[in-house]
This record gives sequence, C-alpha cells and structure tokens, in this order.
Amino acid sequence: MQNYLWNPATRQYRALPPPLFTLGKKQGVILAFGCSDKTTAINDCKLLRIVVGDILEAEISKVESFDFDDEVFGIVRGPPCHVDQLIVYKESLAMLSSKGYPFMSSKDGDEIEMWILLEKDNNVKLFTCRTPVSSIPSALGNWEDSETLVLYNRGKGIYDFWGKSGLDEEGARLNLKIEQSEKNMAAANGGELVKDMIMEILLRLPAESLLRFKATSKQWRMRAMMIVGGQSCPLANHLDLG
Amino acid sequence: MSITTENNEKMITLMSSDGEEFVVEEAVAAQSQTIKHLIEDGCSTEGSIPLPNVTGRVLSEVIQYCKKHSSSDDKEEKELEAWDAEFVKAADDHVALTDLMMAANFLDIKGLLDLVAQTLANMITGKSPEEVRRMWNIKNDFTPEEAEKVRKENQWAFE
Repeated sequence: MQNYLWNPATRQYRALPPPLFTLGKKQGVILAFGCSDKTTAINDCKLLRIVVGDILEAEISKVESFDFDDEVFGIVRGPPCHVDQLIVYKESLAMLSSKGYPFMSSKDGDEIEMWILLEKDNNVKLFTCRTPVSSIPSALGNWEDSETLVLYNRGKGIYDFWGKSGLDEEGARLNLKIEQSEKNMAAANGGELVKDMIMEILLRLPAESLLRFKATSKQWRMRAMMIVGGQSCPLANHLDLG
Repeated sequence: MSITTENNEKMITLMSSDGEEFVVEEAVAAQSQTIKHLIEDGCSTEGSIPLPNVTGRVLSEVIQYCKKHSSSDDKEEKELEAWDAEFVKAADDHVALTDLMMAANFLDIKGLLDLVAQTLANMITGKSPEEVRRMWNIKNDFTPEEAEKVRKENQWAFE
C-alpha cells in the first residue's frame, strides 16, 4: 500500500516512504498531522502515521512520526488495542479506540476509549465513553481547547465524547455514559497547570516575579512575554508605581 | 409579587466525575456560568447535570463557595473577603488550589477563579523558577544556550 501527500493549493503530491516496520499481512495505516511544541516555529509540523496490525493477530499498534524540523523518523509504541483515530488532546497525542468493533458490538453501542501519550512509550487510558451506536466514529475535532470532542457516526448521529450532548439523525437527544479514569487524569495533568491556568497566574504576579518566571519553561516564557509585550498597556499592570 | 423561600426554590442535582451527587438550589448552582447555560438549555430536566471534569472532593469545595456568595449581598463585602481568605487557607496546598482553579475555570465562576489564581500567584511571588517547576512538575525544556539567553535578558531587564 502506498500513501501520498497532496497539497491542494499547489496541486503537488509526494509519495510517502513505506513504514519503518510491518505488523502482519493485513496492516492498516492511519495518517494525521500535528505540530510539535519543541519550538514556536509555525512550520514545525509533524506527520504521524500509525500502523495498525490485523486485529485478530496483533494486539498492539505503533505510531511512526516524522519531524519536518530535523527530518527524523521516530517510532513510539501505541496503546495495547486497536487504534481508530489520532487526535490532539491537551497538546498531547491521543488515540481513539472503539473497543468492541466489529466483533463484540452490541446493539447498545460500543465503548470508545481515549488513550493519551504522556511520554515516549507511555500510553495511559484516560476515558471510556459508551457510545449510543455501534460503529467506528470519526472525530471531527476539538472545540474550545479539548472541552468538546465531537464524534460523528455516519447515519447514526453526532455527539460529544464527554457526553455533554448528542443528537441523532432525527435531532433527538442521545444519552452517553462517560467513565473517566480519574487516576490517569491526574497523571495526565501530573499536578500540572494547563496552559490557560499559567496565564491566569502570570497575569496576577508583580513585574519582577513575572520576568523571573520567564526562565521556568518555554510555555511560561512565551506567556510571560505575551503579557510584557501585550499591546494594551505594556507592563502597566505590573509596575507598582505607588 | 413572588417571594422565594427555601421551600419553593428549584433544586438542581450536580454529578461529579466520580459519581457523587450534590443537590443544590438553582441560584447556588447558577453562580457557575457553565451550569447556568446548561440549565437554560434544558440539560437539567433529565435529572442530574454531569460534570465530567470535576471530582466530588473539589465540587464540594466549589459548592461551599457558591453557597456563601449567593447568600451574601454587597453590604457584607468585608465579611465576605474574610470568608474568602479563610476558604483558600483551608484548601491547604498548591495542589488542592490548582484543582480548585481548574474547576473554577471549567465551571466559569469568575470570582472563584480570581480568588484562587491570586492566592497561587501570591504563593509563588518570591520563589525561584526551579521551585515553581517542582511545584507543578514543569520540565525545564531550555537548552543550556537558551537558558543563558533567558538569563541575559533578565539581567538586562533589571539594569
């Protein structure tokens, strides 16, 4: 099987090199784009390719990534299950897996699992969502920074992974049941601050501390610079003139 | 003219991520803009409102805050400030405060977000970047060269 990248704007295409590994005869390939947080360069994009083995033969998947920045291929271990889709969740790579499909589907629907890649080769299961319908959903994308993950089942309806809402094709409300692996959620956050929260704290610091914390990490630095160089009133909020 | 008493106040059930249920007055729950919108959209008619991002422990603290702030009026500002100060003190450490801040953000309770973010900001004001990294498990992702550049920038800032 050959994959191509096509740019509709320039109408150019390129063939992708074959995967670095094979997983049995019936392997499938899922492609996704993502951006690395290694630098703030806009063009620092990654192409991710996930190779899925035959569901019956292999229980494991691998993710291959290509970094456009340093042009290096990398391989990370995928979650120990069949992967249907790659998405970005909280700035990490996450994978959606529909557990039972197609062999264990029941008419009550499937369990969709979300796995998140915390660090290389360390996947944890974050959420299990019992979907109202049984078939592989497509993730349409995140809304408002991961608060809504929209899934779509052709012919069955559209719904939010987190179970806030869902509509079937006739416009009736769907009920979802979400189980959150709380322990893993804590691990995903790692007692960490999500990025909006960094901003909330930085905005309330005196100028001297704000500048000092530019040295904390790249995320902190970027946000501190945004405040310092903010168009509205540079430093004004942060200088104690009294 | 209608008089709202405790008896005819509409009650709302909130369900935390770990399945704990909290029954509160609608006016208390509506301190959260997120919940207010959910109620307006009719999401509460089928029973409880699920809050998949908030654990029961954190939710009970949030409800405490909302109860206090929905029952007090402007005249009691001084008393309310003192109560807020005690409230964040009881939250104890920065991990509990961080949980509380994320919940306040998700539930869109501006007063609580302000209060907790300011408390955390005060907590770290005098700390070093290294101490802050330890508090939130932040990885120092600067190369030695970059770290040097940041250090020089800061020197310049205080000249």
